[in-house]
Amino acid sequence: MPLTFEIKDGDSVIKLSVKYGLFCETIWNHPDNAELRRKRKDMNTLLPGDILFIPDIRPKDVPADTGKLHRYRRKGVPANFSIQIYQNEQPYAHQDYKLVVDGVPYTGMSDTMGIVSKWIPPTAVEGVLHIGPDNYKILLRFGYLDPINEIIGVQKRLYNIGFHPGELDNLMGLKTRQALLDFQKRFDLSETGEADEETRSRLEEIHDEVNLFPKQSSETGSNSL
Amino acid sequence: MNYDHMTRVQGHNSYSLPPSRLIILSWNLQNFTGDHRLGMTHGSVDSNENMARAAVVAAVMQQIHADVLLVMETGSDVSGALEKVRSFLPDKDSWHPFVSGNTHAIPIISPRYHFKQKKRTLGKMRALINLVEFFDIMPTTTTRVLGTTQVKDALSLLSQWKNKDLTWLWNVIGAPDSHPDDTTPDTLLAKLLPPLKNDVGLVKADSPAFWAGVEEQLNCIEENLNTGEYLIEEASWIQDLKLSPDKRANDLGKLEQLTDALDFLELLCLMHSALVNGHVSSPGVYIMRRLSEVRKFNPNEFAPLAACLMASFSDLIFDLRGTVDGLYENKHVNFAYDALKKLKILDLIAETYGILFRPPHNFPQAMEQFFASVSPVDDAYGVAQKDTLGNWIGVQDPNSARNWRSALHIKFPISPNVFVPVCLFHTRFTGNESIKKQKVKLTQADKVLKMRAESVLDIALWNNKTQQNCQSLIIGDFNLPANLDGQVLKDFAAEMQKQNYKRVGTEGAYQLTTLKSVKNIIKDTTKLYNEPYDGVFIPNNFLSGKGKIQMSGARTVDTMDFKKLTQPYKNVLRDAVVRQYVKFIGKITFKMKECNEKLVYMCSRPGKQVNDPLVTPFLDPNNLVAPRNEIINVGNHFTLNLTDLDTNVVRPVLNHFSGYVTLLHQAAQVNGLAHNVKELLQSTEKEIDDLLQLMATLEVNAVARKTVAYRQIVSDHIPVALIVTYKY
Repeated sequence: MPLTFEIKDGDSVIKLSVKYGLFCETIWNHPDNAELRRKRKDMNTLLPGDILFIPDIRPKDVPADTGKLHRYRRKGVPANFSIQIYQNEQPYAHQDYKLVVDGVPYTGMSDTMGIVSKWIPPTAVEGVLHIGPDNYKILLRFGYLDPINEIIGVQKRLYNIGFHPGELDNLMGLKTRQALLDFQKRFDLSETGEADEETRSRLEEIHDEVNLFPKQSSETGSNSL
Repeated sequence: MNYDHMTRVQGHNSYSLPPSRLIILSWNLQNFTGDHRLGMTHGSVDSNENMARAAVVAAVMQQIHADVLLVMETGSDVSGALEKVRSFLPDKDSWHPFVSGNTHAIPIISPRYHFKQKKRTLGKMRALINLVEFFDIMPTTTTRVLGTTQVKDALSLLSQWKNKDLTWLWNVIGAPDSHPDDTTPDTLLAKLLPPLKNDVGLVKADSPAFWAGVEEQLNCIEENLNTGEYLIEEASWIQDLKLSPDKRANDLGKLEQLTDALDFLELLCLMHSALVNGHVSSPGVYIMRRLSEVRKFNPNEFAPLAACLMASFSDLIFDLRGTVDGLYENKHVNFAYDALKKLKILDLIAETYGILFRPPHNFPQAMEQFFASVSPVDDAYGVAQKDTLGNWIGVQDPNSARNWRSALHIKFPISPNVFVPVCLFHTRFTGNESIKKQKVKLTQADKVLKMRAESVLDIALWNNKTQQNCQSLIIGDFNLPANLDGQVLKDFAAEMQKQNYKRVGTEGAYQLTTLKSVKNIIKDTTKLYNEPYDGVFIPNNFLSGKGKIQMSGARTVDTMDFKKLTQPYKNVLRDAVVRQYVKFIGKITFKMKECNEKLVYMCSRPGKQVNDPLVTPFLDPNNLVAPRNEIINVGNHFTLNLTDLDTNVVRPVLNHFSGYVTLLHQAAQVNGLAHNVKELLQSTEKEIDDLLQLMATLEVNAVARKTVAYRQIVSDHIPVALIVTYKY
């Protein structure tokens, strides 16, 4: 039976695809999800309340001889989790890390861009990343990032990159405006305090893509009296 | 401790670690609304001058991206000043202001208080009244009883306040300058009561019912004389008497004297009550409770008690901490200090520290941690007072010559597991009497220097004893030169080294102040900053070796960016320069006038042949104010175009005066007076030359103008800026 699924916090198409035995593309590209695709650019960044159509598993006939042992490989796609760590706006490069996801540890070293990248189970809900000589601990909540065109998506991205927007409540409060102003000022955008297109685009670029913080514009200089 | 980080499971994410650095700006801003040392007032916190000051501070904070502003301020207006600075910050809601408690040690009353001063008695009396209203007062000697002399002195003081002739009283109880005996207030009461009763007996026929009440009270007092259980509250009959001016008018003479006598009887009763009933006994100490807790506040009612206290001051100490609710409300503390100062009992300048802290954006728990760290429960916050054994540290010890203000200890969280501990400290600049009397082979200047150095050492020692695992930075105004030359300072440096501290090297920058006079600032802007009192002492192995002071030293005034100041505040700064310019002009005018008068006097001496005409423009008084228009023009020009000064506009004023000086000299030459007034002319000319040079420098040297403006409006200290970096 196909079903329509209401997205909750932590859900993503890749996670649901594993649960329902489908490829994520199969779900996402289904004609009944056209409206959702139009609304959300990224199948893994949905908003709680979004309705996702999950089609039936399609039966597949495979000829097989009787009396023999047959092996079938289930096609599963692990998720490529990537996180770029900054410290003081600089990539936290070449730092030993240990990423623990669902009890399974992965170790390695961040690259020159400060990126930690690992294939992890798409069903992962939480993880812990220990990084650096002090084993700085970051609790990761997979699938909890919301779309950039929602206030909550803006808030969470601001929060992640160090601009504290106050309560993550999907409301455009004073603190969120202040965080936006700070962000706009930092990235030389028009200081509107609004999550306008220019701001969202820059925020998405900084947060969702491999990037570097641009050099801060200097305020030094003096005038005469 | 960790953060929740909301990510996509598939795809790229970003995350900024909490900052590993803290940018601190430490600034001695002296006083916004008034300067105790200079007796200056800057108006209210909202005055244009103070607004300009706050705007400059905020501008510098933005310029260096400060996370913390530490302010030393000698007044009760720290909170208002911080709030004002905050109002100029674009993200003002992100900044949290904090004001320290009072940082003084327990003040000690002067060993001998000479209370017989005749002047401003009313003010002194009020000061005392204010004092007893707000603070517990503890006699150090439990067995102390007022002697007759003290009571008489108190009565005498009260009589001055009330403008009363107490001859009648002295007749009864003995003149104030008579040989003191061992009598006590009890004895005096006993002496006063019989004549009072006698007087009442004489007048009671006029208002029998009223005076019967008075008589009854007197009897009551007499009966209870030995128990001390009399008048603590103003008796109704006293009130009746005071509220019956018609009666007094009808019975002038005897009745008036009787009224006075009753007033002073009340005084005596109150004084006695204060000593007997007003104290709450505890082993070894009497504590006089806030009287307003017992009685509704009325200054008049407190006057007798104030006089009583004044009489017994010599053995009292004032505990200005911890015993009165709301004690840390600075207005109360300063209220009391003012009272004590008016009485010349204490020579104190209240000082509190202020903090503006902006927690890291991506560290939402920062404020919780900040508050946790400043909780009085764990003794991590506040003014450094006692060591772990409960002993006073030197700068707070009532018995120490360094008994003065202490440091504020505070920890700034920059990430979940990193705190930057800081001691903000402003040492005393001048020594007190006891320091001067120390019998050590040092000059007075070195004695004071040693005292300052030891004060810093006290804080280092305190850190070592109480913060073993995490010694604080010691930041502030130490009133010590950075180059620790001289034996006193060398010894100090060695002692600090023993305590694991060293003063931060300047790393190319200098720790600067603008403590020089305005005149000297203008004279040579290349040598503006030679008194580097502000600075930082850093513990070795700071933050377990992971902390580093990336930069230290003060910002120079000329690097401060005032561009963002809005016009009104720029005008305030510029006006300060104009005022200085006009001041110089005034001095020149005065000098020329003085010289001219001397010339005229020389020319008019009998027998003196004056060459005709005496070519001097100064004989015409109008000429003395001739440059007025130019001055006004220059003033306007300074105000409007100070950034890019057109010296062609300013120059005529200098030319004007320069021309006058030449004429002055010529006049002397022409009249053969140059020899006679040589000395005067030479010194005047030199002074005028100097002033002209100063004015010229102001015209052409933007740094000089900026520094003068800064010095006059903002502070004579410039801020120390540091970046504390923590290596994870």
